Amino acid sequence: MGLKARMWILFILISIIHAGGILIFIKGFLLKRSVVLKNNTCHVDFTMKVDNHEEEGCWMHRRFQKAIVIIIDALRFDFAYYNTSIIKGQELPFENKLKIIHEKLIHSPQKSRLYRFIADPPTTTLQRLKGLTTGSLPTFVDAGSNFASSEITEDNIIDQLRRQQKSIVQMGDDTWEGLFPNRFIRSYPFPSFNVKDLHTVDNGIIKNLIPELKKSGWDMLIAHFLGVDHCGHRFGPYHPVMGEKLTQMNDVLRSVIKTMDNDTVLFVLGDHGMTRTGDHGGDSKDEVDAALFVYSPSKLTETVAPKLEDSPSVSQIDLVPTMSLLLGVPVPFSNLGMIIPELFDHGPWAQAGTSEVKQVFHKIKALRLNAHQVKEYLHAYSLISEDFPKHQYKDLNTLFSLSENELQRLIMNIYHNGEHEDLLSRLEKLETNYKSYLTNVRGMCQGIWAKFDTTSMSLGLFLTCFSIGITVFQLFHTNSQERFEVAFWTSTAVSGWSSAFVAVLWFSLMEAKTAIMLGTMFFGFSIILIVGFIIYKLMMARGSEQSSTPSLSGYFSIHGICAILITFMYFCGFFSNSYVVFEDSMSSFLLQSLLWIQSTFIYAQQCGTEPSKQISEKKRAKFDIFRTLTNRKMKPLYLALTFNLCVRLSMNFRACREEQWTCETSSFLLPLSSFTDSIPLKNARYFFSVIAIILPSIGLRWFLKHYGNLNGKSLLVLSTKYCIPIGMLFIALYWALQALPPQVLDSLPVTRLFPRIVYVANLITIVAVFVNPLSIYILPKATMESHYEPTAKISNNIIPQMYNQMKDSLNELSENEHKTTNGAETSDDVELPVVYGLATVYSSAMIIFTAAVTEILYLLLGDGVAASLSLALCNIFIGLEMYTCWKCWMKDTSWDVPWSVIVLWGLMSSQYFFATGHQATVPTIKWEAAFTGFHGDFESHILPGLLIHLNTFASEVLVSLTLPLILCWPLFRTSRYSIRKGSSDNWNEGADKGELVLIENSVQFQLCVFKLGLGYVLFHAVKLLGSMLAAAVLRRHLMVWKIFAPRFIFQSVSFITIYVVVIMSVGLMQHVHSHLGGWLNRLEKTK
Amino acid sequence: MAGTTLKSSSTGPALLLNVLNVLCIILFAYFTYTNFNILTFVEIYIIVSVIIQVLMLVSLFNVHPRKISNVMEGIICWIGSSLVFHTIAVLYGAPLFSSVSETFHLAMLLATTAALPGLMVLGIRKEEWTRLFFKTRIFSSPSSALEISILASGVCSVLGAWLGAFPIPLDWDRPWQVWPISCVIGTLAGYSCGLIFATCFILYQNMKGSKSKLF
Repeated sequence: MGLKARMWILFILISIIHAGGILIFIKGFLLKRSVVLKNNTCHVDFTMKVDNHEEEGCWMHRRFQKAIVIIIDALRFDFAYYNTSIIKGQELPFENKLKIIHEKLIHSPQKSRLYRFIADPPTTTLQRLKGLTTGSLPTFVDAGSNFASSEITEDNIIDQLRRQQKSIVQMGDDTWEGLFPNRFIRSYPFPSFNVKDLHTVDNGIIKNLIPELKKSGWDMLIAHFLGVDHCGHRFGPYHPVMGEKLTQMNDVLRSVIKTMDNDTVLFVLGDHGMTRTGDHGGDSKDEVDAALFVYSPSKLTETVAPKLEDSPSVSQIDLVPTMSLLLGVPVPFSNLGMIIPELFDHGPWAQAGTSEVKQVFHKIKALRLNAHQVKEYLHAYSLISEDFPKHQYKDLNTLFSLSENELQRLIMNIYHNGEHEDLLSRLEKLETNYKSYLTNVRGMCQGIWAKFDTTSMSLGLFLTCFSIGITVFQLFHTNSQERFEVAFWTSTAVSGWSSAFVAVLWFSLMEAKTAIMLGTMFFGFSIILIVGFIIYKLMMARGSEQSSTPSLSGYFSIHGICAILITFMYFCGFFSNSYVVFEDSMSSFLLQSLLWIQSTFIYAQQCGTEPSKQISEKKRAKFDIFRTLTNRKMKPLYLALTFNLCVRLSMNFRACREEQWTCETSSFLLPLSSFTDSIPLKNARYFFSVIAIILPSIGLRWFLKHYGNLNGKSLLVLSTKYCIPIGMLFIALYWALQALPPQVLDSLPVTRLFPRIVYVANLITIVAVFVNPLSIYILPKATMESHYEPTAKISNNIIPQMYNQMKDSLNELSENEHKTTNGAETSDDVELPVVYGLATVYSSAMIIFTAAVTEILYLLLGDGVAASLSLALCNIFIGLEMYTCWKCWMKDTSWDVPWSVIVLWGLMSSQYFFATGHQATVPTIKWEAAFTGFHGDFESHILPGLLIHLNTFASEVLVSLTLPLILCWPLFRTSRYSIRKGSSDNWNEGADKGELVLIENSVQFQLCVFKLGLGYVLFHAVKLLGSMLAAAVLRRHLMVWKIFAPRFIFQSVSFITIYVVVIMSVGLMQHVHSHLGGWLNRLEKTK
Repeated sequence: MAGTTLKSSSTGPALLLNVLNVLCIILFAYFTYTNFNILTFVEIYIIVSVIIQVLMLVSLFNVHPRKISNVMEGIICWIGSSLVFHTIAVLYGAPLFSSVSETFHLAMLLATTAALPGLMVLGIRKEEWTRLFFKTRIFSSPSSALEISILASGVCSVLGAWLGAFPIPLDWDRPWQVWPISCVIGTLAGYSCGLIFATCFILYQNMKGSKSKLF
């Protein structure tokens, strides 16, 4: 088993423990609710015989025969509410557009009601539909599965209706088809995923709605409009298109109301609201506040309408029992909602309308049924789970039986004595009793379904700590092969054992006792191993006197300690909600501070090393500020300044969290088509973005040309030469199309063609890198004589070519000299092959690969924030230059990358996560990234998932990919440095070989690459541990679902991404390494 | 007044200067506590601090009056360093267009605490500065009491300003969390800490070595 194989084993084992830690923690942290698979039937023991009306409904006499449910996705309350105080013409696009609701409320107050319809977060459509049909509370677990909607198995109103032989027609959003397959007699589904498409769903519904209404044979008609939601996602509520959309909805409602007959009730509802940017998913007031409008042409309620200004609030799960009882079907078994009482005080079939007592009694009857149903559910749930706190459950039962007894007594009273005076007040008291029972039950359930499995959580935390421990242990033992070998067996044994433990835990569905038992066993075993290792080491140390630990110097110097401190600060930041909210500022603050520390350190180093000259008084007088400022030694300070400038500029691309109330949305985050009023601004932004993406590609070309990696006709060179510029061109064209109005855009096929060209072009480049990563070129022997003449092959750019030729032949010379001293045949006049680009053979492969990936990221990020990615590239470049500077001035030839540089890279990836317009919240995920190049009707969810993932973690991917460059960059940059300076400075003996030194010291190379990758992963693992620990410790915090839980989820996904990308880039380095080895062997053979 | 080579006999005056500066800050904090306006606070503090330092330097250290010609240079450098600090603050994320005056006041304060003492004693040449800030090994290489005060107070006030930025994002809704008040407080606190540290250090060295008398 070679060194390489061992490294991979360690990488994989550590990743298994990490993944296991994350998964087990998630299992305990994200809450779950057990599903009770019971259905209510018409004949339950709490309904009275007289209540069974057979055809006219069971449990209760039905009030309406038919119901129309119109769901306008994302209908926020203030969209539906008509604000009379706004002067006509000054309303915002979403205000006062649904005039029909207002008219009905004014003209027929007892036939219509408008409510605030409070959603339970998460406010995603799938969760909402589950709540709206089953009446149950959502838990966090479901939130992730928005795209993979699965059939509802719990009892729900759709199934109840079907059991009563009612037929349902559904049209609109196709999520319904996924939730309720084969339940509808007729359905008109339309794809819901494509948020760019504002009209297909709505127009489809409008075409079928009125004809369907006029047909007979349906009892419930569900129409789910998506236009408003999609409009919000695409343009936000403040865009004029929103006004058009809402006006269209108004017309639909008007025509629906016109066709309604007296036995029909209409519910118009929004499943959730939207934020001011048009997103949803969280639990802010704007997202939770939806609207519910109930209307019937016949009298709906006896209650006097409240004032228009204060519409009452009802919960979204209240819709289920209300609708069930109004239509005379049993309430679904797992419902926790409470009926809307005022809709139950009018019963025309029982002449209840006349007497006030009868009205209240009717209401109570409905409430009682509701309470009974909830009690049955609680009972069933308590049988399968021990979630409910005992005494609270008992109290609730007492409250229930009290009300029940009171009711019995009242009925007896009425039966014997007729109506008397305090009857009404007693009835009203009873009503409040039932209401408070239902409200308390809901409160209790909300409380317990926020219950955590602390065993799994602590196991997850322990595993994460453990893998961090192994990583640190291994890092300290990777500075020489012997130490690595020794430590390897310990780490492998410990981590292998623990990953087996993880696997057992995961697949055995974990009982607490066995888990603890296994955990102790495993912990004991690893302690024994580590103690054994220490004893072994002590014995070894006695044997040989080489106990020096040179790698520690990189960790415990001034900048190393500062870097550790900064890592620790980041870690601590996760425990404060304010720092998590302002993490974008925090990460850039720490990044900039670390860079200042580094540059000051470098500056101090070179000031400290130079001999102090005694300056005469005369010389002192001549103080030239420009000479001071243009001094070469100021370079680190200028680099730091530029670096900070880039970071500062990138702050303009940040998105706003809802909690950052002072934040204003950056104009870079708006879609290009929303610049409707200012054409110059539109153009300026477009050209700015295009220039921002073209500059790095020019830089790339210049770099590769300069180092001679762009010669010859290999696949890699050709694809770099042509595919990347072609990709850029098509990105620019694609962005130009974005400026068109969306209506035009959707009909153009090129909007999908252009991005696909970009994907293909870059995939070709990526494949080319994998096929042959060596972008070197051997000059044919024939042209050797004509060194300084332009040949047919290299006709343009003679001077740089000549320079490269000279430089590379120099490199090659020393390379060959080295080889000859190694024992090969020695002859002075052996023909030396001239090879281009050998000095940058590793980094060119890395850079080309990065360039191809970056281009895809540019495309996915869109024209707004792509410029930020260029700033990230600029920062990476400066970071590399800074490190080279450091190496040069400290005359440091070791390849050990200091911890502070690794932390710099880690912080960069964190900072640019925010600077590419993301935040660690669900509403800021850019769902539209899934549509770059695709229409939106996806068969599977892997591709759109990948695209959204790449968009979200673009910075992590980019920064982690460039990680191995830290190792390569100083090798060829310092070589340039010393060549230019001549022989005066020969501290770096292997410098003129460039990156070829890597292949000469293969073992050292492997160790360094491994160490670099592991160190980088360590930084992010510390972050992961911070967010995990914060989520665990603060699990009862008010903000846990809003701040800490999303932060943890984002961190764990980003950690996994980083791990994969690091493995990829390390793998690529080794790929280049083995290819180069093969190439050198062949070269030697041919000679 | 630039480039004065100080002998160890200057220990006493340096101590006095440090104590006076700290006292000045405490008094200032006390008097402005009830009626606090960050801009006037900073302005008045700068004026008082400059006057104290100049008077002390001239009277106690017998700076030659001829060197007063370098004052103009010093002032230009002071303004220059204010601009540098302002730039750094903006790079760190201070708003570019709004609250410019507040940011600049912080920069001036930093220039007064971190750069001005150095400018008055070391002058404007880079060599002296790099010697003091990058080559001094505080426990090994001997340097004068005044230089140690400059080094400690300068580094500590920059550090204090940096630490002063930490409470800004917290959701405590306190008036002092507004930019740049916490940083101003941090600067002055750091400056005082540096001076106190330097004083203790000098006293400690004196007690250990007792080579020179206090005055």
